[in-house]
Amino acid sequence: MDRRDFLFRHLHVRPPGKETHAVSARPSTGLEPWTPSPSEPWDAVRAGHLLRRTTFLPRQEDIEAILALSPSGAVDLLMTTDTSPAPPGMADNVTESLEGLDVTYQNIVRAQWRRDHAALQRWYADVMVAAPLSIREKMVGFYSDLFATEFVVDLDYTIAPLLYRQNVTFRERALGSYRDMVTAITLDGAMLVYLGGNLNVKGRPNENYARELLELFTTGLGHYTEGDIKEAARILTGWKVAQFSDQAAPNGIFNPYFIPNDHDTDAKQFFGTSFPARDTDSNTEFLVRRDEISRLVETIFEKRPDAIAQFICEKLYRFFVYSNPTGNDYGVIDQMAELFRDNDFEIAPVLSALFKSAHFFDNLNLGAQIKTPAEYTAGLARQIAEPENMVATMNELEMVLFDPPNVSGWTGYHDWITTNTYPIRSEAAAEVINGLSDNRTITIIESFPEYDDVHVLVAGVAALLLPRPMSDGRKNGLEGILLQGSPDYEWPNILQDSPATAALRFRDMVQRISELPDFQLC
Amino acid sequence: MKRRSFVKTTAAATAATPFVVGGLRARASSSMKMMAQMPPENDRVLVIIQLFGGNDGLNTLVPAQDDDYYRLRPLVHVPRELAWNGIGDIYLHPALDEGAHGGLTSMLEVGNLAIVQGVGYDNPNLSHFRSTDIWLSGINDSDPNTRLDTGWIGRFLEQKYPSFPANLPDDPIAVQFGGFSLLLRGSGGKKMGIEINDPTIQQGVTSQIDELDDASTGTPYLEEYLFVSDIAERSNKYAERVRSAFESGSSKLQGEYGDNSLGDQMKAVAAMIAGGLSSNIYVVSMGGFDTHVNQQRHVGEDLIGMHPTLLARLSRAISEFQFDMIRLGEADRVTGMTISEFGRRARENGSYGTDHGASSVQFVFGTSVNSAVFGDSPNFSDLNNNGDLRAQIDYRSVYMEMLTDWFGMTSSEARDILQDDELLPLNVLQEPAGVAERDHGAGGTALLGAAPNPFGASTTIEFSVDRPGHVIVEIRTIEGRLLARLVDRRLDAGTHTVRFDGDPAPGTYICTVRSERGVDSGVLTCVR
Repeated sequence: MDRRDFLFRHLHVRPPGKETHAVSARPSTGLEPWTPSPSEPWDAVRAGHLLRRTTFLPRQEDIEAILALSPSGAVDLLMTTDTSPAPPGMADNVTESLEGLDVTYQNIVRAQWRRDHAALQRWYADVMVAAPLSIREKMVGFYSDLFATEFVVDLDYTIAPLLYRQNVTFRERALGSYRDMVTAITLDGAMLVYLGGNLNVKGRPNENYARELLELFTTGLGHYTEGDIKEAARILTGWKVAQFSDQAAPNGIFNPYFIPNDHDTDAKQFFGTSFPARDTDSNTEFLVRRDEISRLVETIFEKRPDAIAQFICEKLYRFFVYSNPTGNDYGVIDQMAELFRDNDFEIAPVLSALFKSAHFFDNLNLGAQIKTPAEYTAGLARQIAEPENMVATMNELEMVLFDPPNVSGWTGYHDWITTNTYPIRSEAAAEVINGLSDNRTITIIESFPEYDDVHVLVAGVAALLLPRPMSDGRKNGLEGILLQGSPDYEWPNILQDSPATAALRFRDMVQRISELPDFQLC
Repeated sequence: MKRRSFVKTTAAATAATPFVVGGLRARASSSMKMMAQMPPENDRVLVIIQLFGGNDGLNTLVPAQDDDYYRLRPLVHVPRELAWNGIGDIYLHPALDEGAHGGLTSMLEVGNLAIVQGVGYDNPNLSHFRSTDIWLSGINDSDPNTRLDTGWIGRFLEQKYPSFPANLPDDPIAVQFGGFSLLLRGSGGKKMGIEINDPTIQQGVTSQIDELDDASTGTPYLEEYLFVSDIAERSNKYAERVRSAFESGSSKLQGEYGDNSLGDQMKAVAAMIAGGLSSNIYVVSMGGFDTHVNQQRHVGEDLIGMHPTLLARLSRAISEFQFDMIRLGEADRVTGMTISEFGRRARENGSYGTDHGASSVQFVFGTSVNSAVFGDSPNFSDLNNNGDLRAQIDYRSVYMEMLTDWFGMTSSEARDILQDDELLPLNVLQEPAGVAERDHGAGGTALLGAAPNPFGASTTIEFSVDRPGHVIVEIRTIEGRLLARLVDRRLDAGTHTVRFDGDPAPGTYICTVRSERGVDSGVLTCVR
C-alpha cells in the first residue's frame, strides 16, 4: 500500500498532497499584541507554547506558574528573570602549552583539555535543565549557534576555560545591546583562537575573523567587498589571548591582550571611514581597542544598520518562531528589524514585542518547530526524567555542545531529524520513561491537577508534552491506554488500589506520546 | 578514432609497475569489447567526497615549474624536489602517494584518476557557506539573496524516482554519511536519501500516526508532522537492509582505509556496495581544509601540518577503496569525485596558512575515467583583483558528464538539472556504452582526422559539428598542458578544417573538439 495513503487514512485532517508539499499557510498576523479569545484562550497549550520556545521545555509547575499571570506578564517575567549559574570546577584549570613538550606530555595536556571540555559540556547541560522561568538560557543557546566556536579543530583545541568565558559573555549580554555583544566577541579569547585572530599580525593578515564578522555576525552576504575584509583584517591585527601557564599574560590568564608591534599602524579605510595611521605613542591597548576595535564594530552598525537588523532579526525569527519563514513572515521580520534599529540594536525590546504578539501565538505557529537535541534532551530531563548521560545523548543526536560542525553553527531544522537520529531520539525517550520507578511515576501523576479525573489528567499530560490541542481520536487513544477498557470513573480506583498498574499504564501512555511525530515538535 | 583508449593506454604504459590489476583492467575496459559489457546505468554508483573548508589546489596539483608559485608561497609550498613527478610535467603533493600501492599517484599512472584544475566559477564567492551551496546545488547564481535550496543530485533523483517518497524503493536511493546535505535535497525540502553514521548500529523505529486536531489543517505543524513520520518510516524500512549489506560486505574487504572519519566512511561505502545495496549515490565528507593556520611547515625533508595529513587521508581512503572495488569486480560500475567549495589564495597569509581563494583542483576516480590532467596550469600573472586564480573550467562540467555518461541522461535533461544551457562536457569519463550515447555517437561532434599525421611541423585538422554553436578545438600534451587553442568561436553546422602549425617538440599530442553537443578527440604524433 502506498505509504502516504496509509498515513492519510489515519489522519483526521487531509494533509496536503505531494504536489502541494511545503505550501502550508503562513500567518497574516504581525507584531500587534495578542489578546486571548474564547477560541484561542490563554490555556496550558498556549502557555506551553510560550515556554517551549523560550525555555528548554516547560515543567508542569512552570505552566501553572505563568498561567497565573497575563500573557504579557508572563513574557515580562521570562525577560527579566536572571540566571547566573555557579561556575564549573574546570573554569580556571590552567595547563602549559604544547610548545617544547615531547609527545607523551603533549598527550597528557591534550587529555586534560578533553576532560575540561567534557566537564564544561556536562555543566552546561545541567544549567539548561536547572534553568528558572527565564529566556536567558535559550538566548545563550542562540548565541552559541550564531557565534559558533569549535572545541576541536583537528589536532588543535579551543581550550574549555576560554569556551566557558565565552558562554558567560553570552549569558551576561544575552538581552542587551547586540552591538556590544559583537564588540565583546571580537576580542573574545575563544574566538581569537578559533578564527585565527591571535595569528593576525601586521604584514601577514589572516582574514578569517574579519570575513565571518561581516558574513555571519553582522550584515550577511552581499553588503561588503573583499577589499572591506582585507581592511578589517588589518584593523584587527595585534591581539592575542593568554591561554597557558608558560606564556605571557599581561592582563591575566584567559584574557586578551595587545601586542603593539603586531598591530598594523598604517591608515586603513573601511566602509568609507578612515582609520588614521597612529604613531608609537598612540599604539596602545586602550587606544587601539577604543579607536579601532570598537570603532570598527560601530562603523559596521552605523553604515549597514538595515542589513544587520534584517539579518539578525531573521535569525531570531527562525530560532524562536519558525525555521522556514516565507511570505508574510518577512513582513514580521521587517517589523522586528525596525524595532531593533529604533532601539539602537537592543535585543530585549524586539523579543518582548515578538513574544507578546498575535503572530507568535497564531494557530499557524503552534508546534511548527523541530526540537533541537538540546531541547529534546534537556526537555526529557525537565519533563520526565534525566537521561543517563545527557551529553552523550546530545552527541548522538549530532549536537556536540561547544563543538558545532563549523563556523556557521548547526544547520538545524530538518537536519536534526534523520534516519540516523530519529531512532536515537525515540530510544532515549523510551529509556527514561521505562526507567521510572512506580513511586516516581505516581509522583508525576500527582503533579497534575485533578489527576484522579482521567480526562483532566490526559489533557494535562498532552498539553505539557505535545505542542497543540488534542483531537478526540488522540484523546480517546491515550485515555484507552490508562483505562484498558474500564469505564472512566474506575481511574481513581485503579490509582488507589493498584498504583503499580496505574504507573505501568501511565508509562505506556507517555511512551506512546513519545512515539507520536509531534513529540519531536515544539 | 578513440582518443579515450589512447589516454588510458599511455597512462598505463607510463606506469612503473604498481597496481597490475588496475592497469590491465583500465586498459581493457576502454576497448570496445569491454565497453559493451559495462553495467547498465541503473547499477551505477557515484561516490561524492566533500572536502569542506576549501582545499588548496595549488598544493595538491603543484605548479612546480612556475617560479611565481614559489614567489607567492615562500613558506607554504611543495618544493619541486619533494613533489611526486611520475609522469611528464605532473607534480603532485607527496602525501598523495599514501595508500594502496602508491595511493592517488599510482591511480593516475594506471588510469584510474582524472585531475581537473582551474575548476570553479566566475565571480567567486569566498564564503564557505554560499560557495558550498553553489557547489552542492549545481546552480551558479551570483546573487547572494537567491536561496539555493535544492541539490543537483536531489533534482536528478527526483526526476529518476518521480513517485518518491510515496513509494519507497527497496533500497535507499542515496546514502549520506553524517548530517543531511543540500546535495540530496529535492524540491519542497524533500530528502532524497537517508543519513547514517555507523551502519552497524543503524536502527529503525517507526512512529505512531494518529488523528490530529481540526485546526491543524494546512499548518506548518502538519507539514513537520508528516516530515517526521516519513523519516521514521524510512529509518524503519532501511535499517536492517543497510546493516545486513554492510555486514556481509565488510567481510569481503581487504583495504586499510585509515583510522579516521573519511577512512571509516569510505570503508562503509565499499562494504555496502560489496554487500549488494543498490543505492546509486553515496555522499561522504571530511572537514579541516580551511587551512588559515598551520597548513604546512617544512621540517627537514618532511612536509607536516594539517594539509599533508588531510591529503594523505584522502589518498589512502580513495585508493584503498578503488583497490577493493577492483578486486571485488565492482570497479566498472563505481566512480567517484571530490568537491570543495573553493581553493586557497595564491599568496600565503603569514600564519603558515592560506586564506580563501577561488578556483581549485578536483579529482575524479574509477576505471571509467580518462586518466589525465584537465585544464591549464594556473596563471599567476592573471589573478583576479582579489589575488585569486581565475576559474577556467565550470565546476559543473563533471556533474554534466556524471548525469549523461554515467547515469544515462540526455545532454538537454542534464542541462535542465543544472539550469544552464551552455555547459560542455570535459571528457573526464570514457565514452559510455550501454547507456544513452553521447551526442557525437550520432554524429553531433566529431574529430574526423588530421593530415598529415604523423606530421612534421604542421598539420590540418578536420572536424564536424551537426548544428551551429560554440566550438573549441585544442591541442594538449598528454599531461594535459594546453599547447594551442585553434578554435574558440561560434561555427556553422558542417565540416570544418583548421591548421595547426605549432611546430611542437616531437611526441604525442591530443586534439580535442568540444561543442555543446559533445566532445571528441584523437591523437596527433609529431615526428622529425
